[in-house]
Amino acid sequence: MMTPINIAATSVVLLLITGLSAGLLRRNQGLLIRVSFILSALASFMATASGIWTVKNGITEKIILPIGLPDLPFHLRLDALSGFFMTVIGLLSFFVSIYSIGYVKGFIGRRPVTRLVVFYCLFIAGMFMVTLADDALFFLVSWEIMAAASYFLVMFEDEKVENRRAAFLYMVVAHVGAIAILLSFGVMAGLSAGFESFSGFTFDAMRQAQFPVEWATVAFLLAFFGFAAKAGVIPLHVWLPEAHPVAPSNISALMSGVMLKTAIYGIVRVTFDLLRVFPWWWGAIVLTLGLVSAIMGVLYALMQHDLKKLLAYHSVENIGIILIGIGLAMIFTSFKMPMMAALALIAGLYHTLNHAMFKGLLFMGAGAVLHATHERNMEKMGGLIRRMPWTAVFFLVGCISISALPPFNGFVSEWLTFQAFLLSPSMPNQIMKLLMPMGAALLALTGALAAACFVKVFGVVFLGHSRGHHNQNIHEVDWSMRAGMMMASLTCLALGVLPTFFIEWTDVLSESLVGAKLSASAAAGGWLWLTPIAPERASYSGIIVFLGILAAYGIVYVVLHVNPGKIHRGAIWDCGFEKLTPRMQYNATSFAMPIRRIFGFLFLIKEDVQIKKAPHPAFPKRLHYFLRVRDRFWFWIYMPFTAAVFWIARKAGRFQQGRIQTYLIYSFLTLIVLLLVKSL
Amino acid sequence: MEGIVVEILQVTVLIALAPLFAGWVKMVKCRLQGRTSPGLLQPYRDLKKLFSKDIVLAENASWIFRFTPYLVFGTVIIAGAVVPILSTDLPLSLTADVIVLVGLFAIARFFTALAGMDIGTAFGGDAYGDIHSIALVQIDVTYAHSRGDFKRRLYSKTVSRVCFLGLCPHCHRRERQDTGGQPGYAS
Repeated sequence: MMTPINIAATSVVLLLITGLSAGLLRRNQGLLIRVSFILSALASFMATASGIWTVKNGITEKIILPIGLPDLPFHLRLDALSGFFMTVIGLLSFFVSIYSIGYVKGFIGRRPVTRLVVFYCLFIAGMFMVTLADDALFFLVSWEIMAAASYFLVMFEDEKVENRRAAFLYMVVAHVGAIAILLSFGVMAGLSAGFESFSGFTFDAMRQAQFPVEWATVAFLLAFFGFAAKAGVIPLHVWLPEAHPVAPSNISALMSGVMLKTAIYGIVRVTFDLLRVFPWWWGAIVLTLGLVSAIMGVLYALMQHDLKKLLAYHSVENIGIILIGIGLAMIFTSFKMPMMAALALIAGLYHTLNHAMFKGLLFMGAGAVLHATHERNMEKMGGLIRRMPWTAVFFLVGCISISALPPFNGFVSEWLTFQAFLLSPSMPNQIMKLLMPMGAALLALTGALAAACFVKVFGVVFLGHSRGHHNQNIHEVDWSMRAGMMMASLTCLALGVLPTFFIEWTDVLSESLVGAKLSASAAAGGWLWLTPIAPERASYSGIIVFLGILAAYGIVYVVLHVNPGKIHRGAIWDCGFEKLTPRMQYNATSFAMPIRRIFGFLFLIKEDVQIKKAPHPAFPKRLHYFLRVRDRFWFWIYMPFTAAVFWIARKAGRFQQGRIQTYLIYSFLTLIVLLLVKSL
Repeated sequence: MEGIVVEILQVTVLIALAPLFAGWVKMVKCRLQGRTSPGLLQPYRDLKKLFSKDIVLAENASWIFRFTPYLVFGTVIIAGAVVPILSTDLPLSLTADVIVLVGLFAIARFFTALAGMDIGTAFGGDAYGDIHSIALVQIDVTYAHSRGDFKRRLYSKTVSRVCFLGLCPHCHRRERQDTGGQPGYAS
């Protein structure tokens, strides 16, 4: 039977089989890479198709598998929300799988890739299963498969200390989060069906239950904590800039692009679907943390000069922007304003899809650069646009999209978020009315700083002269990597210029979660114009902007520059100095200097200039400049926390002395206590 | 049909009169600084001279450097077609609201900054100044926009027009050259 859920389940099974049978081909690594990544691309494509189909027709389907606990079999359910996230995950996995064919080949001869292939398939399967799960047990099993698989992927190059350290940190945070999620489900299950049976653990039972406000709050806070740890919301983000850069780039693309989105899925599922009724301040918490993550994420990103670490911090920023949309949707829902809630929710979800596309694209581009130069440090790059023209174009598309510039996709979703913000004066709460414009201004600042950051990234990596020494063997990447990046770029453009189709597609979703549709007003002026509230209030047409710029370019080019012979190339202006060296260019550190001065109090900065003597007084003195910028949160929260844990551990360690007499006393005392308890 | 005529007329008038504005700004500035101004029509004479010249590119400039002026021109044209100047009833006025306009100028700035870094000299300095001003203007406009009443769309259009004039990349660049705003030698 060809129904969406069957296709989705087949794709999961295909991924599991591909992953688990990868060992059979381990003797022929080239073939293994081709077969398994083509199969995983196929599986991702099937999942995408089923997701699009589900959301389009608003289908809800269920399957109960005969495995699991005695009276809690695995429940699978594909509804509009899971279909949406399945599309997001599937689409990027499809692009990344094609990209991986070329990327993973780069490891051949250096290390066996069988482990990478196995865990890659399990990782994607785990993410699909998370969206399909309809009971707490299966959800957590899938969640753990996803976390464990990604742990092994981060550990892929495990001979480096930093990789092992990052993977360990990731595992710790993931598990602290998973415990919180487990407790949250426990609270909801216990309240919906009592503690005698497992039946309360199905999401259906939770949907039907009525929760008292205080317990609902406990469940929400636990779940939000757990999912925020996975999503990298500040201050739980510390693992993210460590783990994402050290993983292979195709894995970073998936982790940053879609794994973080499973956490967004969890937040939306728990609040809008399972708990359903909530006070406005829950939304305010989500919104505030979203704003903090957005602004802090981009500021920390600006300080980085490791390309992948910078992109990882931008994931913190974008998760923040998504949470702003979701937080606003929660606030509007609690004030019974379904239309506005729908706008904010769609803005958040649109940004979820957009971020998956452009962040996946950027990490793929970073991977291509890494593949060609074997370098992650931006200070040693430069001028790659001439060696890697295709990668440069695709990376530029990613940069424009993430900087929220029209006509690409990042702009549309941030613009919708702005529109949701600008509707806040209609809220009945005075405090909210007063503080909301501040939030909008912060979001604007975030967008502008992101643009600054990506001018820096593209300018330093691809433009100018090379700052490194290994420029000789740099070459463009092969067809599969280019194909993966090209499809992601085209998706970025399509999502940017045709937003009305996206909004029509997600109608079912917003109707089922907040009870209002957006498309009636959003596409009121035809598909060309996006008018989320009303045409006289706000409107945008990405396609006219795009075609307009293209037309202006074409016309002016034809009119003014018919004769290419008039173009001369000359040496650059060197201000009268004898010789400009590539080291005199702006680099990543100098570009971010003014921001470091303005927002310096947010970072832990160690700056040191040493003047060393020249060999002869006639020569200029030698300057040495040291700079280290670190995350303050590490010292504010994590260091005291680990110190406290160690302190407690040392105190507790006193009980364990290694003397058998003491241990016998412990057993004896325990026995007496137990007997006393029993006799009472 | 009428709308299209007005639209084309507006864009043409805008392109034709923009240098006049630049000349006027320069005149006022010169007056304030006690200098003699080059005359209202100087930008036209400059343009005429510049168009008859050959194009000289730095030896390592990539297509970004070539593409940027066209993009800047394109965004300004779109902005000019959207903002009500001759008429409030333009067929393209739905293309952009004030936030989109800010975004349009931002993309022009984005590419101007990239073009600055494309050459790879110590003078990419414009790049940062440009980007920094976007940050502040964007906050400003958004804040003003979110505090204002939305029904007064025309008001916000005026706001956008102010920033349109203030942010026009051409004027800004010329201004920089006037004051000789070269950044110090980057050490």
